[in-house]
Amino acid sequence: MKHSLLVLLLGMLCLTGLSSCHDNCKQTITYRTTVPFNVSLEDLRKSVKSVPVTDLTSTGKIYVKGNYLFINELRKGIHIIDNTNTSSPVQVAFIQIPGNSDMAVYGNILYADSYLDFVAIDISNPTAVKEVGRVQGAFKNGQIDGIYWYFDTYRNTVVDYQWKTVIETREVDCDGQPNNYYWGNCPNCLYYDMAGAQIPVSGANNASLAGTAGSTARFAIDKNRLYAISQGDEMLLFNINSPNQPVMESSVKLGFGIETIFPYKDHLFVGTTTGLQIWNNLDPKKPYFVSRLEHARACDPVVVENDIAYVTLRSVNNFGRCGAAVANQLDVIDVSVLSNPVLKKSYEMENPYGLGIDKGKLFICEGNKGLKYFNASNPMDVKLLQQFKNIDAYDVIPLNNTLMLIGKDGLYQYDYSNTDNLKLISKIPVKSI
Amino acid sequence: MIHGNVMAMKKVLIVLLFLTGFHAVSGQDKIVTRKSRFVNFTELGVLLGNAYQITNSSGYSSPVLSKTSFSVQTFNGLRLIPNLAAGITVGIDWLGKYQILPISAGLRKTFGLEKSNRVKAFLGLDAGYGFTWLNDEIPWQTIKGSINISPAAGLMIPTGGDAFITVSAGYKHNELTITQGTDNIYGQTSVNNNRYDRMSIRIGVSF
Repeated sequence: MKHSLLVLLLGMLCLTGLSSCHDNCKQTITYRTTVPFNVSLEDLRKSVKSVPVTDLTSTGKIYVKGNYLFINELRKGIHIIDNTNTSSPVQVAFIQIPGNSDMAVYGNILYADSYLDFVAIDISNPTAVKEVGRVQGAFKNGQIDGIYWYFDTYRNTVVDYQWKTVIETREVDCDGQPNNYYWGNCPNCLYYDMAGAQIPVSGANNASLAGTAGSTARFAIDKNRLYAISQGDEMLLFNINSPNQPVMESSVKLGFGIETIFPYKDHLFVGTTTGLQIWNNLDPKKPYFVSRLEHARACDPVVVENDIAYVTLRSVNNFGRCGAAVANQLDVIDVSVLSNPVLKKSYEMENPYGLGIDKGKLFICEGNKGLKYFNASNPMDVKLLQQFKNIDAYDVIPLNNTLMLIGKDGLYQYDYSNTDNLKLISKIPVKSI
Repeated sequence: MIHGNVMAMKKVLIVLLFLTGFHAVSGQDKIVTRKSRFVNFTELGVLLGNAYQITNSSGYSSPVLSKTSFSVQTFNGLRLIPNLAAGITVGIDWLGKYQILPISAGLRKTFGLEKSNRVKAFLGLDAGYGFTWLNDEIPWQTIKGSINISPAAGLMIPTGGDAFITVSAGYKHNELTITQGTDNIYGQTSVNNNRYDRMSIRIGVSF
């Protein structure tokens, strides 16, 4: 009797088991996608103005001129910060410039891109800036924060896209590999995350008039010319002899994957995804190609000091613009003979973004791995002094013992007068939206 | 590299755990008597179920697949009162791409006379945590285990000696969470919550 009961129980268990035995696998994906929006030419060309200060939300490049610090708010404009007292920087104004990602300052004139236009803005009074010049249609297309915009000639509007985060849950086959898309562009490339710092170049013309940009800036001012890298891998030459009225003189085809530019000793150092190009601009309106040093395909911010170029290569897990680089490293390149740059040494890095150097003090942003501070007084023996792990660092500018760092969560300023020790002096936080 | 070493060590430990379990079996073979309080159930078998993808991004469902996974487990415990033993159950379930190593508290309830040479019935219940040490995580991936529950009922067939051949059927619930991230600008992360509800059929030995 007891036995048959048990057999019955067993049978029931089997049956219930069979009817409800299945794998239930849910996948929740979070991803960013893009949503298009239009900006009409009319709106675009009348919107440059000062507006009250706003919170930093989605920061781009940084630029320094005198006591002012400029922080790009991706595709919206530029924050102007009075940095006279580095321990307590004050937000002075916000310049609204639709489609902005790059900037350079010469005297009182701020040059900025505004989608397809190149704009000159008088910033003598930051709270009431004036648009003084505009080169219409200088850029044919562009990319900000990893998104390409284009100009729709039929509708006379700029078509751009916004990021949007999407969360989806669905039932999936349990044996299906979690989806892992690798499409996308180089997260290291400047239009997305900007990068390191350009040192003030000794001997450069009018150095005091121009400001200091990051090493991956696409704008560089040298010898009354503003050199701008366009998305079409061309270098555009703007004559700023008359600073209020920039004139586009010519364009030079540079090749594939051009990302950054900066002037050094009558030469232009052009960072590309496949290597470093050196152009001679002794005659500022006719730069010509001198040499190149090829490397594995990667994103490569560059800084130069004392004839040594420091290049970071970052391996990115995608097959976008930068390609699948194999290594994360810092390359030390001897450029004393500009016609023949020589790779001297490579150091292993974790996740390098931008970098900056000042008098042998080397600062490397390691993205989500933080900021690293090196002693590079001997370039063949670069030594790590300090690491700050709790910041997501993209871009630095070291200038006059103050290191300005832009990261995911704000602008940090450090005092680096003490050789062994960086000291945090202030922070302007990014307000998350 | 360090991570890899830890994984390797864990795997070695797991193997040792099994070996000692089986060693206990052979060691007890000769000396076990009905008076011994030690109870062992070592079983191998299959976990059966269906799997299908009901929805996907394009909105259609995939065909239902029958799934069969291999599973081993060993219960080692002590008889608390006649016909009831409590102990620890360790096993491995190979569930498609993932392996789960459940470590559970277990109970075994037998029916009938202890010294009977007739077929007896037994019930088992194991509940614990499914560890994921056997999985090698790919870059940007973390695999986390969760609870597992396994009730079963079966028959013990006497062999003439002190041991029994066991045949059992039951239910097994396993869970896994696989988190996959990237560092690209599309910021995609996926979290897979896998729940495996399977029917178990096992054969084994017990003494």
